[in-house]
Amino acid sequence: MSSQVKTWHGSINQPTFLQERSTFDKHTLGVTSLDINLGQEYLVTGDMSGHIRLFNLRDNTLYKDIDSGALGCWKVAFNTKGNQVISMSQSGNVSVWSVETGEKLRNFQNSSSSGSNHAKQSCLNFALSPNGEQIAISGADGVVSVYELESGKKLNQIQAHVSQPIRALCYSLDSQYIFTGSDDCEIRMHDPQSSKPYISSFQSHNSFILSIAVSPDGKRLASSGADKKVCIWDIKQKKLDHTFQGHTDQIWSLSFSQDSTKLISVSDDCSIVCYSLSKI
Amino acid sequence: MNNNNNSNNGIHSGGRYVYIPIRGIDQHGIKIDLDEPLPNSEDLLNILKAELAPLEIWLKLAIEYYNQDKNDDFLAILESVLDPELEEYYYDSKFERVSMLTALASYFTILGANEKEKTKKDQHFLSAVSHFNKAIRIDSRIASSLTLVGRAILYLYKNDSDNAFRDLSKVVTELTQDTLPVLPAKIGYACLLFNKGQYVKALEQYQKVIELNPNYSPQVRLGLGYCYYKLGKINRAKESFQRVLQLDENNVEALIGMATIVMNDGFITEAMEILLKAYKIAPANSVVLYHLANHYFYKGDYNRCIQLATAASKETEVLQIKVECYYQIGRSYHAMERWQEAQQWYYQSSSRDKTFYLAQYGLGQIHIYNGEYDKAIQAFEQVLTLQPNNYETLQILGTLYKHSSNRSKELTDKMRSILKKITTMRPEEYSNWIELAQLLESTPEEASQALDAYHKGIQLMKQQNITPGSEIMNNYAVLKHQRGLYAEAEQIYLSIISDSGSDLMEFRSKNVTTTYNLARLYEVSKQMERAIPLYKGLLKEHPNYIDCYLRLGSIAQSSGNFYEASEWYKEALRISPNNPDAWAMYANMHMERGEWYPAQKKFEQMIEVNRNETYASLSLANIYYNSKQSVSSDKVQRFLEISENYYKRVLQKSPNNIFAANGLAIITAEKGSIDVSWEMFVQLREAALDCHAISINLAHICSARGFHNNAIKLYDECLKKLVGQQGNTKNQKEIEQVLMYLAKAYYDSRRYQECKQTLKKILAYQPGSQAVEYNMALCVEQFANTYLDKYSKSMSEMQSLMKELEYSKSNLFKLHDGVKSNPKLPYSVTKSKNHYQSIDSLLTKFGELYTKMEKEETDIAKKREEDRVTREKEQEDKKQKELEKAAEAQAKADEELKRLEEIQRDLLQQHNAKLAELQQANEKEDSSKKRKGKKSSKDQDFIDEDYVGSPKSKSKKDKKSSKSSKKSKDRKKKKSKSKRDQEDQEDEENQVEEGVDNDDDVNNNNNEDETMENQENNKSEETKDEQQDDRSMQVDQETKSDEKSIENDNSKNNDDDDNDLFGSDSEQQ
Repeated sequence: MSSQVKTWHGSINQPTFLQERSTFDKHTLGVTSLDINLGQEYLVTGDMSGHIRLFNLRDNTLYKDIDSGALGCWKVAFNTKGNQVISMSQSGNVSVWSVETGEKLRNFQNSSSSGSNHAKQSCLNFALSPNGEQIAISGADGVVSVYELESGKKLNQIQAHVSQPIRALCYSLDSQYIFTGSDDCEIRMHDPQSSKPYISSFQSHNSFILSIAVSPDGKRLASSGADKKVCIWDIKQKKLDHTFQGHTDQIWSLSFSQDSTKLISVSDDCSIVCYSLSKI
Repeated sequence: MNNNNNSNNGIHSGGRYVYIPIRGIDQHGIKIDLDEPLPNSEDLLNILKAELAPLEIWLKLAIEYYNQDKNDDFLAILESVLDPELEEYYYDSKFERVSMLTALASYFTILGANEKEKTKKDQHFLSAVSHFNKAIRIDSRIASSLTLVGRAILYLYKNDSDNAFRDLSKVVTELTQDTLPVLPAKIGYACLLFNKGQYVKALEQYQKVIELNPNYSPQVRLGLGYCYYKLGKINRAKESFQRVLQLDENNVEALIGMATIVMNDGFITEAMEILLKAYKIAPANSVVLYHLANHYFYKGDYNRCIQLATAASKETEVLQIKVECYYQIGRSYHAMERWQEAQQWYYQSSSRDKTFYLAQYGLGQIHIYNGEYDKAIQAFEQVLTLQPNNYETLQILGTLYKHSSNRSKELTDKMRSILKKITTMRPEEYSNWIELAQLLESTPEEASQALDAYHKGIQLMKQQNITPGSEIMNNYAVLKHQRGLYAEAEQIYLSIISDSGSDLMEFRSKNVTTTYNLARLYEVSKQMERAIPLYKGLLKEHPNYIDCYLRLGSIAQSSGNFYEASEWYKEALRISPNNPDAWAMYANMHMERGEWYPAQKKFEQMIEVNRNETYASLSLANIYYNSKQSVSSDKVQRFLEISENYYKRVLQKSPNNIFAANGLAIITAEKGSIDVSWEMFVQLREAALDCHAISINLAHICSARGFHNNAIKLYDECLKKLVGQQGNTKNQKEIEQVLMYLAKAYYDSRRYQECKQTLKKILAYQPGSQAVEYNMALCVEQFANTYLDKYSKSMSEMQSLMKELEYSKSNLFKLHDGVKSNPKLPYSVTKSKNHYQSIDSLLTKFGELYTKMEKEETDIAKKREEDRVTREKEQEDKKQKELEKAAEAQAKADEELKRLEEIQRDLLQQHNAKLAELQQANEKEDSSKKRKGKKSSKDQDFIDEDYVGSPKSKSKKDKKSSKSSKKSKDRKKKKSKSKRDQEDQEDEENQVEEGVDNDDDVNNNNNEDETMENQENNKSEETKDEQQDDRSMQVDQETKSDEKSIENDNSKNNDDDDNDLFGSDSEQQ
């Protein structure tokens, strides 16, 4: 976790493959999360002091600096349209901000009824459904809560993993399923409408799962974990397609390219690795 | 001496008649008809002596006697040659004398060979040897061929085949001329070659002999037959034997040979006929007897077999046949199930000839029958050394090893190698694969090989349409289960249950193990909703299945339902009150919840049941150690001692228990002898590099001794190992813990940036951790403090630090505001309040400093601004001046112009005057006028130029002035710098004043440090933040690893169950 954000520029064909484009360093202590909106116009970052910053990527300037409060913001993301920023604190306070004005539009508090000790259980991650309707919040207690993004109304609660922190989750392309990756080394597929624990389970990782992502064409699921592996899954057949072992330390995050042919992962070994998926 | 002639006569007369030449009279002699019985030897001797007949004739006659079975006469004649008188006389006919001596020796040899009585036999052989020696003494050259053959034969009879071979090969290679004894030599040589197993060479020799003399003794063909037989050319062998029998139908050896061949062809009755014939001819021939015995054995007539074999063994002196006979007897008794006799005879056989493996084999079988497995193993191992690829022996040994009483590592190694050999020898035998798998599955490292073996075995069984036993399938599935191939294992479990013809939910007793395993599988793969009903169903049908209770308890425990868990454990204990696993798991649950007292009770219960329960003792020691925090200080010492005693007790029982050693080292450290404990940990770490608890403890000690870098290195290593370890959720907490230690080490070594980085890493794992927030604040505070002392500061750094401070401040505020002091909190509220205040003051200080710096900065900026203004002023002045100058110049120019104009006017006036004067010379005047006009225009041009030029020069000057102003600026800058330096100095002076404040701060910090240490010593207030007692936490880790070991135990138990079940099924021998 650094206090700097770097943007990179490059194509696979170049030998250096990535060139540093610009560095943003206005953050306190550490950057917790970041996202780029649809038109690649803005970069949003959240830092440990709870500031949400919007950068204009056209001219690499700070566009907006929003103080979301002392509780901090653990995760930020743009909505599907790219005109709003959703932020969540560790305590599960979800806020929606306008990109244009930087004003807070609304907020709601995630509450899970799993038990009295929930107050201690922090929220780890959230995912927005591609259709823009839902937000799913995962916590350290293994519970996924689904809310209507517009109203903040709670739709469902899934005991997705038994008392295991869920550090990674994402929606399928059609927003019909939620995938969760947890410390119990499993990726599970859930129906956001039902409270059934899970529909199916993908098992290949040997350690905590830190990040999962669905490809933009909706066919593949990529997962990475503390076991230094990147796994590519076929969603339809629910089977493991390929495993990459290019990193020497745990892999914190990964992301697909827009055309779903490439995957990029970043790890504690301080390296970024890009994979070509066209051959598998 | 006409010996030569006479001898010629003698030889020629050989055959039917022998002429003894009469001395002095040629062509005359005494004619002796050889076809008639020979006269008395005495008469003949007299004649021979009297006539001094050539020795050749003597020999001839002697042989004739021999041929007519008149051995005494033969001896008389030959022995007379030994008479010294005669010897002298016939001194020159060495050859004859040698021949005669050899004949004598050979005679004795034969006598000896035929003699059964040992002493007489030796006597005969002795005299044979002496005669041979005498012959050699007469003339070694002549003697060589004859005597060597003879002696070789003697050696043969004496069973000294090496010496015989030496003599014979000498004869065969050295003497190629057609001397008489070459043929027998060759036969003997061939025979020896045969005995040495060089059948091809032997065959060659035999063939040579037959080529040289086709009508030689049928024995040659016999040899030929044996060779063919041994070389596998059975038909040729048969032909040879038939030929022998044609020549000599009573040849026993040929008959035996024939019988063997016929028998091997499957014509038992014919073979028996032949054998019986041989028996009639030679009722005492041991080989015949042996073969007969063999036959009767196969016919099942054991008594007769024993009789015949006993007879055969008595008839022979040849060890091999004897041994075979004994074996035959033993085998018969064995078949008659008279074990003791069989064992005796087998022993007789095997002790005489260690290389006779058949007897060993039989002996081994008897040992198995008697249940003396170790002895049996010995016997079979003996067989195996002789016959390393004997499949049956390998198989038997494999099974034997399995049932052997001592299961040493050596034994399993042997067993593994044997089973692997078997499986490579006969990969189509499924039973071997299964055996191998069963061996391999007991050692966890070879589980994958075991799995392969099972796979092959089961595949083969399916090919042969044999349905593998459910035990095999179960074990196969367990292996897959253990390797994490849950889906496959589940499939197998389910198919076992469905194959058994009952439903999964019927919980039939035959399926109990499988169902339990299936439930375990569901449990491991986190499908609790499937596992729990299975366990419960099992309990309904089989209420005494303790493991089910324990598993149910464990499930409840891991999902946080401690009450339910304790109910399950209690249930288990109700059924089996002394079950150590149940007690241990129950106690562990208490430990997990930090309920030391009930846990202690439970462990004490375990020790009561079994005083040597290592796990309970260890846990108790840990409990005492851990609970010393919660008791008053006077009791701490006592608790430490109790804990130490427990550790020591464990170590006494199992000196290699790393956990106990670790605990002891911790207590040593606790008692203050850090150096001693450091040494202990270093040693322990060498002994158990993989035990990260020890590395961590060592790191703690390093840290305590001030070796922060070493500590950091150790923590880093541990971290790498932990991250590298796979798939344990408890790992996560350990990693966080170690990261915390690492952060603390960085903090101690004043590497605040790295400390921050580490803390952030923890936060990435566990967002919202109060301990991290607290520590982060502390770290930021310290860093800010040190930053204050830093000589050069930058505004931007200050700014970010202030931001961080503010963040820490808000965090600390959150941590202490409205929070009641609570020992369960991972930090101390009062301390956080203190830190909050100190950070607050720091912040104000920073703020002041910052504003000061800002002021300075603005001052400088102002100065710069002023400079700039003055510079601009100067510039303007200069400009002004320039302008003035320019104006002056302009004025001058104007003046000049005016002057010029005046001049012009003057000139004009002059001109006009002149014009008036010089009106006559108009033209001249005009031209001059023109000229002047030109001049004036030129002048005007100049002015113009001058006018234009002046601003140019001005601009140049401007440039120059700007340059100079730059220089001055620089100078000013320098000045300002020096000014700043001065100011800095002033600042420093100020800071000295401030330093007092700082000192105060430092003191405060020191105090804090002290309190930190105090707290480390007291370990009473803070429990979990940076200054917490690291070591006590470590013990927690230990118990965790202990828990692991208990889990392992459980799984082992399961396996044991399986194996037990299997063992009963697989007692195949």
